[in-house]
Amino acid sequence: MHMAFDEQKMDQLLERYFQGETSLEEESWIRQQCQRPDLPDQYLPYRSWFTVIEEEANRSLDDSFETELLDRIHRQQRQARVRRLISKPWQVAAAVVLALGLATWMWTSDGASQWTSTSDQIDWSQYEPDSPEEAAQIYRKAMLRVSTGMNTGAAKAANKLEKLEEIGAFFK
Amino acid sequence: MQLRPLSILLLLVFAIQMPLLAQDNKDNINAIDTYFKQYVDDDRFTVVYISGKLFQMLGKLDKETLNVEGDEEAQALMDIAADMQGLRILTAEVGADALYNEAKQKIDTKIYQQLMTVRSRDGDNFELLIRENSEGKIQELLMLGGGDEFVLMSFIGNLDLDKISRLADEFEH
Repeated sequence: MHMAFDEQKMDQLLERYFQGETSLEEESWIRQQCQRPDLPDQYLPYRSWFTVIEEEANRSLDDSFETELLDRIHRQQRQARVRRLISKPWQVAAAVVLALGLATWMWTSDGASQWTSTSDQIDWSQYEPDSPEEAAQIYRKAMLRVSTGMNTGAAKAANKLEKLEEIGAFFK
Repeated sequence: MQLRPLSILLLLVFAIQMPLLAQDNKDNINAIDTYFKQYVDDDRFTVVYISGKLFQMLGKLDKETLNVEGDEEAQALMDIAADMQGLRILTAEVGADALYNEAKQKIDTKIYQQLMTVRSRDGDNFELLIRENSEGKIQELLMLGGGDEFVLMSFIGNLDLDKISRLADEFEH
């Protein structure tokens, strides 16, 4: 004979259950209450919920499931090992080639900026003087400009040196 | 025949390096193409280019045509011209100082070494930079000038600073 249905306890436990605060014993009590034939109507929607959970919890797998699962895992491991054995040297080779290529590029070709800049993009021939005589005049003027700059720099450096010597002499 | 991964790796390394090394020796790598391409089509700039072929022809010119003052100056000029593979010049008379400062910022100093910087009281700025090849030889001499006029000159070739210094002495005398 069943005890009287304790609605107050059921309400409290259901509220706590859906807040995830019930213990295993309390959940078991709710399940048992839901299976009672005299379950009040307002709790009927909970019956199916707790019955399904009960069934799932009691469900067991036969040995064939475990055997098949282990077999599948072993198959996957075998395939993965074969793939790695084939691809690893190529991965290493590709990485080394990329690293060496990048390093060479940076060291030998004066950086990335020159990769995209070649004279092919500017038609320099259109800026050439009309004659060697004109070219000679331009060349001489260009060298004169460089030379003047160098001489000015050298003179300034000599002047600075002279001043430094004067200062040095003053402190002697 | 089956190639081992190591052989393939070496082949690939050579395949990558060859064009890069070849590019390093090309005479067309220069600062103007690299940093100042946009100036070439700009109307504010006067652009001049003397090719390696034109430099070869200069050797056949006489002293009068070169408009030089003495045999030694002519010889010093011709010595440098013989090593020259190209000269690119950009000049502008408007906004010289701003262009000078902009150019200084654009040039990568990891690639171009500063040889000389002169700043005079009257505002004339002058900067000489060099770019060396992998063998440590000067491949490009770059001159930047500010003040009344912005001047950018890129000398390409197997340049010898001693020869340029000798010419500078000749000009001074």
